[in-house]
Amino acid sequence: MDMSAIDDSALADFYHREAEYLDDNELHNWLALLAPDVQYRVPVRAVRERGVTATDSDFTDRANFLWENIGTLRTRIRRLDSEFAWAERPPTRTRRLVTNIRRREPASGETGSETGALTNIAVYCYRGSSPTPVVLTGQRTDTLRLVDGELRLANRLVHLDSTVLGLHALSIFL
Amino acid sequence: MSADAGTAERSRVDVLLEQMGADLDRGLVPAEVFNDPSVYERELRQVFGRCWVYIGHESELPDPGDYHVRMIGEDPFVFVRDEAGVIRVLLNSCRHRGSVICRVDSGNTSHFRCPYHAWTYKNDGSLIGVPARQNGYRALDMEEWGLIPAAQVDSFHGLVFATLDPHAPSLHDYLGKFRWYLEMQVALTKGGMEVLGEPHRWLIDADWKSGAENFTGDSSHTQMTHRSLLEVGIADQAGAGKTGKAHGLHVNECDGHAISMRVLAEGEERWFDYPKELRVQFEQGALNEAQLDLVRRGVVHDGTVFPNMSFIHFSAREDIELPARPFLSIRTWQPRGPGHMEVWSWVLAPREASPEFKESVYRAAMASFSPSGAFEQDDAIVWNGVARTGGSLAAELQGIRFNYQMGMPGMGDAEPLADWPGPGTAWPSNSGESGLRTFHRRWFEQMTAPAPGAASPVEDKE
Ligand code: FES
Ligand SMILES: [Fe+2]
Repeated sequence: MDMSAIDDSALADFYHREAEYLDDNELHNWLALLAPDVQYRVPVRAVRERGVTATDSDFTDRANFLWENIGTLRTRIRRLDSEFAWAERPPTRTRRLVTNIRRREPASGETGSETGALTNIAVYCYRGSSPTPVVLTGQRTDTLRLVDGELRLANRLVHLDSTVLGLHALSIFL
Repeated sequence: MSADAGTAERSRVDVLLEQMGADLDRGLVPAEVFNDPSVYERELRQVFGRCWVYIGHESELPDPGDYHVRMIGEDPFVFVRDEAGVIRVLLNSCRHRGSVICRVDSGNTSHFRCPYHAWTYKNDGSLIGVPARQNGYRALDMEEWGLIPAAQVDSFHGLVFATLDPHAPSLHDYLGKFRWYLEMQVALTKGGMEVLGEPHRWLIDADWKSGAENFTGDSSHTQMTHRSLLEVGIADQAGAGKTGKAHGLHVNECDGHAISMRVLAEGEERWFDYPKELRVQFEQGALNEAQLDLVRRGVVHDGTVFPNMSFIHFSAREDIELPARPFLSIRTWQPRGPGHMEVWSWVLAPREASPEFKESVYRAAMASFSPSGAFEQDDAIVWNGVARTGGSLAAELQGIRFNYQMGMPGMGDAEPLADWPGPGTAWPSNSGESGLRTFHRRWFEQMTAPAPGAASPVEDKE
């Protein structure tokens, strides 16, 4: 497996930078980390009776909390720029913990320029004066691509652990 | 609110209902009804225990044995298609000693087997297996110990409703005049609508009535609450802009249900932005000319079937570089304790539409009406505030009443239409809150309705 072009520290750097942009609400910087053909999906989990592993059986590709491409993400972020986007006025205070980074073969097989990666995330969300955060946890399955020496997110699938979202609005990115 | 639950709070609901009865004609509603334990407890019984409640859509159960767990009030029911194809709504509770028989959200099964002592039921609810029957349960009458069905189950163009009240009127009569308006949402084509995927479910720190009343026709909130969408161009002025006589129609007094419509001028066409292939099918469908006209000119239709099922037929841009796309969203505002609800939301498309079109419908709905939806994100925030005020001590001590007077006689500049072709009372303006008043009147009547064969709870007090 030739992945010399993307080493482990570059991968970790990418995730740390991404989390920083999202936690600091620098959404336009975050957008710049995405490949123009990015596909970004957060499917709905429904606990099903049949299924060998929980992750495989609970999700379908028919129901999603987010199902995005660069155009829809741009539109969302344009809206969040508005002073009238009440869900993020004032912004949700978030802290993203990104751990358990595991490298995988990219689905494309383009091991020279791409790598697959699994990460675990915990996103702590604080709203209003409540000292108790809503915590979203899940696993992300990503494809990262090297473009002009920089890593870009080309594909992301977020498998959340909850079925019912405890957050009154999903106005953040995972 | 009194700290000791029990009797002090139990009487609070009666005080509030008495106050509400006196205030309703003036368009006022006590704030506390949006967050009070005694009100909540009473409404579980009087509203959710007695009304027809939306369970799901027939298309969610394509095959025998398909099931989903759904709620009536706070009680879980199994929504299942049995081997004979009949749709059942069965309490998710074993008849032996109450353990839950179905511990997942969805699945397909011919039998439900209780994990406690293995009583086993067919998917029509009948009991067919009891372990050690010969040794311990020889005289058990199996027919008497099937799963408990809802008292009545019926459907309307694929929408399945159930009620726990055996004395409730038929679903046909319960929907009453509102059937005419529901048909415009779910009977557009011969094949009707189909649910796409699993529902979105999320929690909001707000009372279920905030969602229900809003969808009856809170047209004046869109400009402020959803201003960011107008700014960016996700929605247009016709769909979510200023209220008045230009586009707006409010129809209420439809047997307790109400709808709000924004339509273009006579002769213009919008069809919620459905494409030509489907418009042709709508014209050949089951709607009469008056209904078809409201769909042809339709920009947005949103309404509430009392108590907690709402819909919105609309179009929006998920990418502002691309045209708006149509969608139908159906949702239920499930009570989850005083001041809390769980929203369940489904996306629907005409059955005849192509898979590509259905995908575009799903994406447009998700991008506007879902927990991540550009519209709905901001609704949740404002509804939280209502529950917060409702639960405040100030609401009680200062007798806070919310104002629903917009558009009332002496306030508004519109009069009900004399020549309206449909049922109910139609107002040729959406600068009003008549739909919300219909909702609260219906709620008040339900809260104070005498139990079948008993005195009304309010009279009980005296
Ligand atoms: S409680 Fe179900 S078998 Fe005993
Ligand atoms: Fe709204």
